[in-house]
Amino acid sequence: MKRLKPIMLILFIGIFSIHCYPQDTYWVYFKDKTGNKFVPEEYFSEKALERRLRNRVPLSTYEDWPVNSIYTQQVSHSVDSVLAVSRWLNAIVVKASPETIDHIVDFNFVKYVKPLIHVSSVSETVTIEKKQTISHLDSALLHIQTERMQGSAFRESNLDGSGVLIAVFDAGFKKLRTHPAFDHLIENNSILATYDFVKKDTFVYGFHHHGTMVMSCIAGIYGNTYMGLAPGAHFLLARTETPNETTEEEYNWILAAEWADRNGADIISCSLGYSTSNYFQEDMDGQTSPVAKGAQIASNKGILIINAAGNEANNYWKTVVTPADVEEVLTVGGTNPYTDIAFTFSSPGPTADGRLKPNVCALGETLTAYKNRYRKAYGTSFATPLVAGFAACVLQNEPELDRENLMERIEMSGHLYPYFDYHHGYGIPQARKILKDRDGQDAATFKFELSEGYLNVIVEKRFIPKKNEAGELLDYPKNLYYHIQDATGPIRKYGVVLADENEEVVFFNKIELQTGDIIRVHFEGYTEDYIYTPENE
Amino acid sequence: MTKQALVTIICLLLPFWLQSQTVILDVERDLDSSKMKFGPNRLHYVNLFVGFGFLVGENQQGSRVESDGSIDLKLGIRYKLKINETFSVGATLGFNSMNYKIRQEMGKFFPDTAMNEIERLRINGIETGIYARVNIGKRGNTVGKFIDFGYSYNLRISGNHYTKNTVNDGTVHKLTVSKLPYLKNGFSNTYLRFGIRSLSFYLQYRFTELFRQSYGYPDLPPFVIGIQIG
Repeated sequence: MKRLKPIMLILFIGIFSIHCYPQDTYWVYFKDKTGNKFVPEEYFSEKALERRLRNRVPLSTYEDWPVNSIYTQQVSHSVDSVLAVSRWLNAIVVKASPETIDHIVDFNFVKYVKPLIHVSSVSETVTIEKKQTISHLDSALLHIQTERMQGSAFRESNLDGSGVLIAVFDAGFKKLRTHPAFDHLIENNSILATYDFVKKDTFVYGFHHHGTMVMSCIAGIYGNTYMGLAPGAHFLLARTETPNETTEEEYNWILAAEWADRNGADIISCSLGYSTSNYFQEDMDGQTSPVAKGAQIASNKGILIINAAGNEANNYWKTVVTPADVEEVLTVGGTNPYTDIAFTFSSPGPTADGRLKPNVCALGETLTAYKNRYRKAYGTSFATPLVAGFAACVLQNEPELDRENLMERIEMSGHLYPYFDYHHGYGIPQARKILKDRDGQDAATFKFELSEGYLNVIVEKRFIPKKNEAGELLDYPKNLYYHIQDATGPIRKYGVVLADENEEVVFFNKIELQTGDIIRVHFEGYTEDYIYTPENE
Repeated sequence: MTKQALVTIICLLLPFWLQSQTVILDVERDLDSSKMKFGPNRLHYVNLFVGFGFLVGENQQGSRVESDGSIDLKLGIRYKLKINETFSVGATLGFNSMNYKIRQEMGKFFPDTAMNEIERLRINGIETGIYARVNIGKRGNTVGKFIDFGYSYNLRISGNHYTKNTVNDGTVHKLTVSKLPYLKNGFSNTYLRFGIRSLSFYLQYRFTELFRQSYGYPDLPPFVIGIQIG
């Protein structure tokens, strides 16, 4: 009996723990917006109205109408507090006990109630190296991070994102107002509005440095060197996440997107995402997560969302995060600045329903503004704002572009286009392709050749680097990209090989090829397909 | 054998494509659409864990131990089988080491009345167990929050009694006695574990005695409070 007492105590503690329900947070969705009036010209900014006209979307849709205030009031009498209101979802976020929720569900205007799951967003920064001053290597990196996208071509055409409004969602923008990299933004009053959706006030210049680092990759300037491509743009800064593990970020994201829409944002740059805490890989279908639904709505309003693919390639997750899984979102992977190959951490696609992701890529190793100095950082977090700056320059150059065409233009400017794969998308966007002054090679750089049992890819000898007497290469070898696509669509196999030995760079065993397979190869600006049929032999 | 047949055989023996150049990236996608069966919140999950705890509880006269010097160490592997979103069951297998620091005081008679500078009892064993898990809250492919109720059996593989004394001339005597006849071959525990993802706190109760009854030694503290990292 003496020994039984402690066992009973342990069991009791366990059972009691399970049944302790604290207050929790819930989405309460309403059935309708009956009785509401809405005048878009009174609600939206002028820029927001212009964006709608440019994208040929209605000035307002049902989602833009306000939530019924009587419904909100009736619910608020029963719950502990109302934390937020979302027009797009026709829902409010409340803090209440489960017993109260059981009561609210029976209200005739309530469609359903869902618990708000405490999720953690993916930390998009992999590692950070501290640098007190910029070394020669850092200077070289700083140059590459914009020049790899041919940023000088934009500057020569006086394109710097002017006239474009970019909303940036992040965990905080600490020291942004005092860092020298942003002096021009402060002097020109380029930050039009800020809002902290966590604390519900306008101060965002604290909490975390991540947003500041991201902003430097859109609009920072070091001396006379651009750190990003859009120092001339205007900005909306939103704090939507905290670094802690238990934050309610998905509703912050949706509310921030509504706020950005109302204020006229053309682009949303978002270096965060959601994955394993609340989802399975098969949920990455662009439809399942609430933030994916919010991203779809924002896209339908004509906003181009540019989102990080995620840094999950090396862990259990191994695929893109959400809302990077949304079709309308331009998803960005991170590449090594010296090899153009995706970093091992950069989340690959495709989505759970087989769609191409990421769409493009950019440098996943960049020099960023951090505290009062500069710091090298890794992650798709920093590739994303580079592409956001690129998008702003494209929109400045062609202001009549709607969201869909803007996204398409950026994809088609990828250095690998029309080649694509699930690590690189269409490659790194190139400014000269946008300005129709590209320096790509149109002439063939390789050929396909059939031999007994094999399909070979032979590159031109001039691309194979010479060697010295010791056998060392005298030049950097070039990347050859290939993919094998089923006749039905998905890529079955893909890879990158260095053309460093001889002209016969890669060959495919015909035994493994199926009729109708499309073997697409890209090498030095030239892409060609080979459609395999046994009759080819 | 025809030339074609020979080529076919060679092609079958060769890999998909030979590496005559430097391969930077090579991805072959698994297009099987069936749900993955292995993962933190999938049907099967296996993970390593390490644990550290303090041996606490009723200190009986004659065999009192120092609470701050008596520790429990675990290293093992845990398997989880998902029943549904709320319930799982599992098993563990690992190594366990209990280290009791015996208090040197008047009235001590375990294992004898001799006073020492330092005196320890170390019991190492293979620990196997089963548990039932209640998952708390919806989660994705992650372990999330949980409560485990479990039973484990510790099969003793060694038991050492260690003493250290410094004599008058400065010589340090360290004595380790093994194959201790007063130790039972094994003992049973029940435990409760509260966890969030890879970190858990556990409360373990040993409900069988360490010592053979014939020796008359008072049992040592039966509880362990500790943390585990998986």
